[in-house]
Amino acid sequence: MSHVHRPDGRLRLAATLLVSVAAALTQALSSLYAMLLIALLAMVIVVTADKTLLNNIGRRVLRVNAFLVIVWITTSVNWRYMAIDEAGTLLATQMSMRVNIVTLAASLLLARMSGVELGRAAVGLGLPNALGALLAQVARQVSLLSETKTRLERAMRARAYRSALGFRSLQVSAQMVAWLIIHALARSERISLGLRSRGMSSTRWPTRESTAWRALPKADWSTLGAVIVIIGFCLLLPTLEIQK
Amino acid sequence: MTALLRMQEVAVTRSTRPVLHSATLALHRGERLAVRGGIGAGKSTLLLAALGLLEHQSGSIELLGQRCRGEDDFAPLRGKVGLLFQDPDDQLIGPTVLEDVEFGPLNLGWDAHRAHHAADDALDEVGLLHLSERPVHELSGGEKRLVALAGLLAMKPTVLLLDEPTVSLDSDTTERILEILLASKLSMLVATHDPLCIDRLATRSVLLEHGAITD
Repeated sequence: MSHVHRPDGRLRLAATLLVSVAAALTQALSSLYAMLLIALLAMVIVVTADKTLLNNIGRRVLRVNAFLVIVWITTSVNWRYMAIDEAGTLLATQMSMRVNIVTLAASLLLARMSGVELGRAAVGLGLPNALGALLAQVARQVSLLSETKTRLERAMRARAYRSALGFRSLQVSAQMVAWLIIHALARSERISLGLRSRGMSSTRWPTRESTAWRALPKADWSTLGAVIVIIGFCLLLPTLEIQK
Repeated sequence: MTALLRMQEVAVTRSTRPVLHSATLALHRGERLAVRGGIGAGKSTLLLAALGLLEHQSGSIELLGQRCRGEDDFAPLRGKVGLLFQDPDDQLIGPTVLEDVEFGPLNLGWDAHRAHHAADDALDEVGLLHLSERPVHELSGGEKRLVALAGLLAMKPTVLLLDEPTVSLDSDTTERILEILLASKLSMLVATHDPLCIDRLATRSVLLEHGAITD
């Protein structure tokens, strides 16, 4: 377990939102290149400090890029004339960079934040309490599905199951999906009863009072400050190039 | 004497937390070895690692006389070594009791008739033949545990690994499970903190503490 100090959740979420909005709005390739480069550098630094994050971030980036391959195939080639589509290529490049920037920023800035912490941070930034509770619930249910799937797969392997190409594997996979839904529903029902018995309701979320903004350490603010400066620099980069 | 299971200084880390750091034990034929230990001592981790369902970072595991390093070594042995999970809900996969008990035998490549026959025999052994067509999710906790056990027995294993087999069961079901296990005459490694289970079932016991086994 890493003991690196992590800034306040609200500031981390705010920084992530700023990066995402900046990446989504800017059209200039040089700005996007700069942001991606800085995000990659930040990833190297963070992963060096906390090696346990490498697997997690690496897998997420790989999955996102596997999806981007489809984007490239469908937008950058004019299949009718079998030619490269310049407008499509530009769009695919922008999309690839934006998605990678947002993925890296969220993975690094929100690393090790649970669904509840994320919901609490969102409420701290002004999101209505009920929506914060919903966000926390969604995150919990998604992780529940993933936990259940891991447990079921482990139990199937323990009973000598090995997936292969064939009807039986297909049948077992379908059975597993059905079972996964039943399990997750039953478990989420139990969790919901447990939460309700402890005073949770969908509209009233017993949030822990956040630390006052003024009481936050300077180091936390400097993280947000650094992100704003970097975004500003990246967005101004095309202007600086024109002046040269 | 060749051990059915031999673990030598096995270390296992679960999501960055080291759970076992030097677990050493041997289970011999005919033996029923209990692994005692408090909550969070790593008993479940020990069983999962013994069957290769959790990767061990160091040390060695020998199962049924074979040195097992990775999935390819463990997978063919899983029919011969049955693992009973602590929570039967994690183990049961079939829509009905009979289909669930047949799941393991079919994985071993048995034909449908033989698998069906083995499942019937196993359900008869645990006294639940009358529930064969019942949907699994409608069973009580004790019945689920018995169905999970039948699912293992149907595969005709040589060794059983049992994770808290009597936890959260009433005294009648506990007694029934202990009788079934004793009657099976199988070698078994039992992770438990139930004194009754240790007294009635175990021929020997060891203590798992701070990630290591002590006698």
